[in-house]
Amino acid sequence: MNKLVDIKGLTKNYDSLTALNNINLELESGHIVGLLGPNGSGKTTLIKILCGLLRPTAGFVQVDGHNIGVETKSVISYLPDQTYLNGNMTIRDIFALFVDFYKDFDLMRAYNMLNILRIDPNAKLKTLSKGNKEKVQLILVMSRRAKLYILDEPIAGVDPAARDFILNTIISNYDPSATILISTHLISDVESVLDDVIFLQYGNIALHASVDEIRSREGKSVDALFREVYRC
Amino acid sequence: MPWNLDSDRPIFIQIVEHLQYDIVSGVFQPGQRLPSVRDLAAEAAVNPNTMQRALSELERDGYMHSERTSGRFITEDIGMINDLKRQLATAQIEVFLEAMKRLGLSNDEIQVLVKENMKE
Amino acid sequence: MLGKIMKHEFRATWRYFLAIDLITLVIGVIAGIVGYNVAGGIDDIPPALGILLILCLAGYVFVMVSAAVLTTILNVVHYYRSLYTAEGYLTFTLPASTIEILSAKMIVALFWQIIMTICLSASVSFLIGSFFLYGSLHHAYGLQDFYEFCDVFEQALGFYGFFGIIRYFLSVFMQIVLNLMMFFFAISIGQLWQKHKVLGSVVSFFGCRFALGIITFFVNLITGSFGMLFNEVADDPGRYFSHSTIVSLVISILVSVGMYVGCVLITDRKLNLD
Repeated sequence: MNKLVDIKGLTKNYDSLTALNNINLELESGHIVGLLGPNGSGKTTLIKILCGLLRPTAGFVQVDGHNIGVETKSVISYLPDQTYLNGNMTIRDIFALFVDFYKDFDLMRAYNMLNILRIDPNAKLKTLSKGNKEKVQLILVMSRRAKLYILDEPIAGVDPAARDFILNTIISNYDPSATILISTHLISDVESVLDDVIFLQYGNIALHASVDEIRSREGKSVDALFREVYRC
Repeated sequence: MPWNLDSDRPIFIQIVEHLQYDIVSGVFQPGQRLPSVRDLAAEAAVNPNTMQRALSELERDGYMHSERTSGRFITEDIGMINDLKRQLATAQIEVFLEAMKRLGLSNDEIQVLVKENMKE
Repeated sequence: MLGKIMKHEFRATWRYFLAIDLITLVIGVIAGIVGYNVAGGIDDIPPALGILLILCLAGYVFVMVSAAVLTTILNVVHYYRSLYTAEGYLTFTLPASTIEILSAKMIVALFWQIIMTICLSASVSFLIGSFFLYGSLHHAYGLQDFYEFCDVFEQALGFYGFFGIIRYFLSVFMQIVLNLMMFFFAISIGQLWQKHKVLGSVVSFFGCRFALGIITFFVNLITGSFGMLFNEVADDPGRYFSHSTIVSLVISILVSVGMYVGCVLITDRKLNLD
C-alpha cells in the first residue's frame, strides 16, 4: 500500500563497471528524502532509471504502481543536474511547453515565482546568468503538482543566497502528499529539510533511516555520520 | 531568518522546544492565530512534515488547538502557559546548577554570586 | 501527444527553414528575371558579361546545393541535439512514448525536407521557365520546343503517363525519406557506442550508405536491370530507368521501414543519456 517507489533487485552495469548492485528500495508518499553518496556511488544512475533516461540491466522498478513509461513520467517532476533547456527559447516559450505537456503545471505559480526573482519572462534562456538559469529550471519543476519530485544536485555550485532561495522554494511549494527525492553531497545544507536519508555506497544502499532517528541514535548530525561512513 | 538548530539533536525535539519558548516569551500571544505549517517551515528552514508533527505534539499537550477552517491557535489558558514557563525555567536552572557544582561552588556561594550579578 | 510534440517541433524550427526556403525562392525569381533578359539578347552578349553570367549561374547552383545541404544538416543536428544531448533530458521525460517522440521529430524533419525540395524545384523552374516564356512571347521558339524538351526528359527517365508520374514522385519522396532515415538510424546506432557516440554515428552512416549501395546493385543485377541497358533489341534507356526506379523504390520502402523500427527499438531498449 502507498508505495510510491518500489525497486527490487535493481542492477545496472556499464560494461564491466557495476553502477547499481541489486538494490531494493521502497519510498512512500509524503516524505522528503535525501539521496546521499560521493561521486560515482550510483546516485545519478538511480535517478536516471527512475526518470526513464536509462534502462536497467536487471530488476523491477515501479513508480506509483506503473512500470517506467508514459504514466510514471507524467507524475515525476525531474530537475537534472545540468542545464537541459534549449537556450534559444524564452522563459514564456518554456512555460507554454510545460503547460501543454504537463496537466499538473501551475502557470500562475510559475509566474509568481519568476516575479519574485524579477526575471523577465521574455528573456531567452541563454541570456540568463548560470544561477538564474538554475532557478528557472527549479521554478519549472516545483510549479508542477507531481507525486514524485526528483532533484539531482539542486544546490551544487550555487552561492548561499541562491541556496536559500532554492531550499525555500522547495519547502514552500511542498505538497505533503508528494515525495521529494533530493540527491546531494552537501548534506549539512539540506539536513534540516529532510525526513529520511539514503546512503549509497559502491552501488549499494548502505543506510536508509530517518534524520531524527540517526540523530537520536548516534547523537550526531547526518553530515557527521556521513563523513564517518565515507572516510577515506 | 532560519531558526538556530543544533546539528546533533533530533530536529523534531528542537522545533517543539523553539515553539514552546515562543509561546512562553510572548512571541505568540495567548489566543493568537499561528502562521500556516508551510510558512512556519519556510521561516525555520525545516521540513514541513517535521513542523507538522511538532505542532501536533504541542496540540496534543494542549498548548494549541486547531479550528477546522480558520487555522491553529495558541491556548488562552494562562495558567498552562505559566506552568510551561516554570517547567522550562526549572530545566534551565538545573543545567546551571550542574555547571556551578562542577566549578566546586556550594549552594550558599551560588546564591551570593547570583544576587551580586543581578544587582549589576 | 504526437500532435503536441509536432507542434512544439515546428515552433522550435520554423524560423530557420522558412528563411532558407524563402531565399531559394527569391533567388529563383531573380534568376528568372535575369534569364528572361539574357534570353532576349543571347546573341550579342559581350564576353566579359558572358563570363560574369556563367559565374552567376555557378553561384546560383552553389546556393541551391547549399540550401539543400543546410536543410538536411539543420534537420539532423536538431534531431540529434533535442534527443541525445542535455536537451534529451527534457524530451525523454515528457509523458510520451518513445515511438511518439521519435515519430513526431521524423515527420517534422520530413516535412521541411519536402518543402525544401518543392522550393528548390520551383526555383529551378523559374530559371528554366524564363527562357521558354521569352521564346513563346517573342516567337523565337514556341511551346513545341518546350514539349520536345520535356519529352527528352520523359524518355530518359521513363516516366510516361499517369502511373509514370506517380511513380516518379513517389520515388523522389522515398529518396527523401530514405536519406533522412539513414541519418536518424546512424545516430541511433551511434548511441550504442559507450564513448565517441558522434564518431559512431558517422561511421554507421557511411556503413549504411555502403551497404545500401551493394544491396541496390545486386538487386538490380538479379532482376536484370542492367541487361535492359545493354540489350540491343530493346534499345531503350527509359526501360532501364523505369525498372531501376521500381527497384530503388521497393528497396527504399523496405529499408526505411526497417530503419524506423530500428530507431524506435534501439532508443526504447538502450537509451543511455550521458
